[in-house]
Amino acid sequence: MHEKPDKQLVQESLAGNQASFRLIVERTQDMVYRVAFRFLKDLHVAEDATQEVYLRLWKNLHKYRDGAKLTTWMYTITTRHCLDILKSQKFRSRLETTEQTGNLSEELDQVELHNNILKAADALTPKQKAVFVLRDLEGLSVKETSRILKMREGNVKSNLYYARKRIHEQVRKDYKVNTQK
Amino acid sequence: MNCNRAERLIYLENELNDRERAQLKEHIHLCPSCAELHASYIGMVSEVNQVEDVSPVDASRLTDNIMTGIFRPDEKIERSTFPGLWTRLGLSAVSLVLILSFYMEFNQAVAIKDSIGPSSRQVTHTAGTSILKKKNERTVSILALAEARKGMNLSNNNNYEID
Repeated sequence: MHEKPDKQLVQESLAGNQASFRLIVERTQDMVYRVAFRFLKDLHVAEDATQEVYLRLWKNLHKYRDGAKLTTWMYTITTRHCLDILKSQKFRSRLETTEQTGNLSEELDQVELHNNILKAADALTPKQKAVFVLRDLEGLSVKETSRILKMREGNVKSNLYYARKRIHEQVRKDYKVNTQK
Repeated sequence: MNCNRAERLIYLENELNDRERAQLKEHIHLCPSCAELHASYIGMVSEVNQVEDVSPVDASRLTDNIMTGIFRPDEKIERSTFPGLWTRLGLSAVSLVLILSFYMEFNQAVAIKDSIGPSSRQVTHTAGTSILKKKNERTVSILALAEARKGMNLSNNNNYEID
């Protein structure tokens, strides 16, 4: 069956059709949740963030422009909301508590290496983390990333450089510490 | 190209143009330190590309929660039972008008009474005396009637006659 285009679903939702809005949710929620989890590293916080993202989408649905890509818009709303959470004092103190209770003596297998990469990403500034998540984890282009973050492409590249360098240096450090055991 | 410049290009390799990529390749060929950094970073990029995707534990439950959060069934009830801002403002305005009207009427009445006679307290007192007086008059009348009943004869046409 041919899928309804985003534009049609948005128009139907604006006309009060809840089933159409549900289709939008079903079509995009995996992406929204995945990005939220990449930023926030907590299942429950990511779920709450996902719900808030759709509430914001619903409230701003009338601003949807013809021809705009719904997924790009969703990336924008999700990233901005996650950045707001990352900047909040409550979340920062929570993250510090979680880091203190982390087990540093685990074996460095591939899963652990991936965890270390993501853990290193947590130490980045919100902007660096945003470009890393969107460009390296989500695979968006520099152009798309700059549009979502409302940042110049040169600025995106600069943040990418520092993000990748810091993560790489941290992972190399972790690897050396583990191989010395 | 120096090593600092090469390091920057290593971390931005995916974003380089052909010319920059060629310059980096040339530097790496000549610099073992940068070659090692490049190989290590390429290894990490490979791992980043394999970072496992995450998805909601229960996607349909999450969808339901999202929909319920937006389209709460009791939303309309809440709105209808709790007056809105304009309703509350309207009620406040009506109350204020009533209070002001009462205040003005009261002041006007006091002013009139002050201009035509004794103070309101005296008037009340006088009025009280007046009522009492009337009551006394009525009492006297009833007593007089009772006294009169002693010598009263009931006529056939049910009319009372006083002797």
